[in-house]
Amino acid sequence: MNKKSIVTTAAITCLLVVTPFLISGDHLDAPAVTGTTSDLTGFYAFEGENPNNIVLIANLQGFLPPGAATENAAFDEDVLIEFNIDTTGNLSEDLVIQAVKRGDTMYFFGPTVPASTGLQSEIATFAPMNKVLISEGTADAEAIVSENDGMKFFAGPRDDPFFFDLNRFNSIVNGEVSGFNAEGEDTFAGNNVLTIAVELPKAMLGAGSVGTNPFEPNTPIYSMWVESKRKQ
Amino acid sequence: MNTMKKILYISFIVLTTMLFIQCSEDDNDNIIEPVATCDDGIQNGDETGIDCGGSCVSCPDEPVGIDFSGTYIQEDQVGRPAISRVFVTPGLSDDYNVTIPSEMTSAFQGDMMANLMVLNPDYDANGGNGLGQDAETFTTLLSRDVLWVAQTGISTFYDGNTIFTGRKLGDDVMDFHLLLIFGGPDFENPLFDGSGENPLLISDGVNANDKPFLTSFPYVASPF
Repeated sequence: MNKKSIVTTAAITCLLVVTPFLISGDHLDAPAVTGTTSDLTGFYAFEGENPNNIVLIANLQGFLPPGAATENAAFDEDVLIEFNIDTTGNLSEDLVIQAVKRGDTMYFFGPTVPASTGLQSEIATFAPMNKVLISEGTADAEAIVSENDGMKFFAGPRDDPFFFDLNRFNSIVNGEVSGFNAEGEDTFAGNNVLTIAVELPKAMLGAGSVGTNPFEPNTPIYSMWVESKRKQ
Repeated sequence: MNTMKKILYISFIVLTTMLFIQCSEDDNDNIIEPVATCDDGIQNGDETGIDCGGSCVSCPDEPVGIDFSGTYIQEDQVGRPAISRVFVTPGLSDDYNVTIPSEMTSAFQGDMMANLMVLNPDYDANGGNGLGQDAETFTTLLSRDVLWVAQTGISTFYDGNTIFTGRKLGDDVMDFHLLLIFGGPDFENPLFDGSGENPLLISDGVNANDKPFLTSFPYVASPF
């Protein structure tokens, strides 16, 4: 075995040993939430079509095939989705936007300073409330969007925006092949997720903090993450 | 008609009119009430608070008839894509999901670095990654698992130039992870670039979603 092969074998062995379940963005990422209504599959944040706005997207319950599985997929009224925004760079949330389902509607609270930070939350009913009717999961269903106070809201099944050659990766992990193909195949093609999306003016989040991102030291940055929390 | 006469005349009209507006107790339908409006400063009509609820805007403090009470405890979280899955030992991922970001480095950086060094044992010897980082610096950054989002300018996970200023729907985040693990200091590590008999490990060969994204909110494509 030449050196190249040894390196290759070592790398593949490492993949085998260390990441047997490297599946996707955050799909099925841990036993406690795998396959549950609180399983987050992805988080996206980017500048909106209107450059004064920012867009936050959280996806849940991945691998929903088209048809009945998607049409019957439902947000859980006991699961609170919370977008966390740290505006100062200290890794603690200064603002939150919460989303929770009641009936056929998704209710949104915030952005607001949370009553408390960390792992435990109450719904911020003291904050501005908005809502949107949950969209249907039929193929190519129109997105129902509500707008208020410069903000936009959406909740419902959408195409899973994540793309990755999971099957090829599994073959690598299983030792059947040594690497990816130059032209891979998107294992997530044709599957859906449940999406919660909010667009809001950046002005609602304040200035952000410079010096947080070492690669863009002069750019004001928000540090963001999304959480799912279950009612006790 | 002088002013005094006007007042007397109007008073007479009003008093006369009132004679004909008599409401008996069993004739409530005829009670004349002021028209409720959503900006008159009082609770009236079908409002459930002052100028809110009912057919007016929702009351901010207490949406009537909907229970938003209770305590919610964290089960899952996501900052940057795939961090816990790629870099955290599988048995620790449940803990990872309920660790607040400010405590992640102390709890998981060592584990992440160990896993990175198993994936690519020569990480530091080969010059670290294309961001100029060695394994410790890289995993320290990763262990602060929040998504940096630029307040101004380009938002992208990585577009070949701008680094970690957001995550757009079309960003090829898994390729960037593979580059940071296997790509070496120039992102073109020949050992893993698929050249000759070398395996391709710095890209999965899938560069875009299977369905076009929308240019307007909600941006994600309709379901299949």
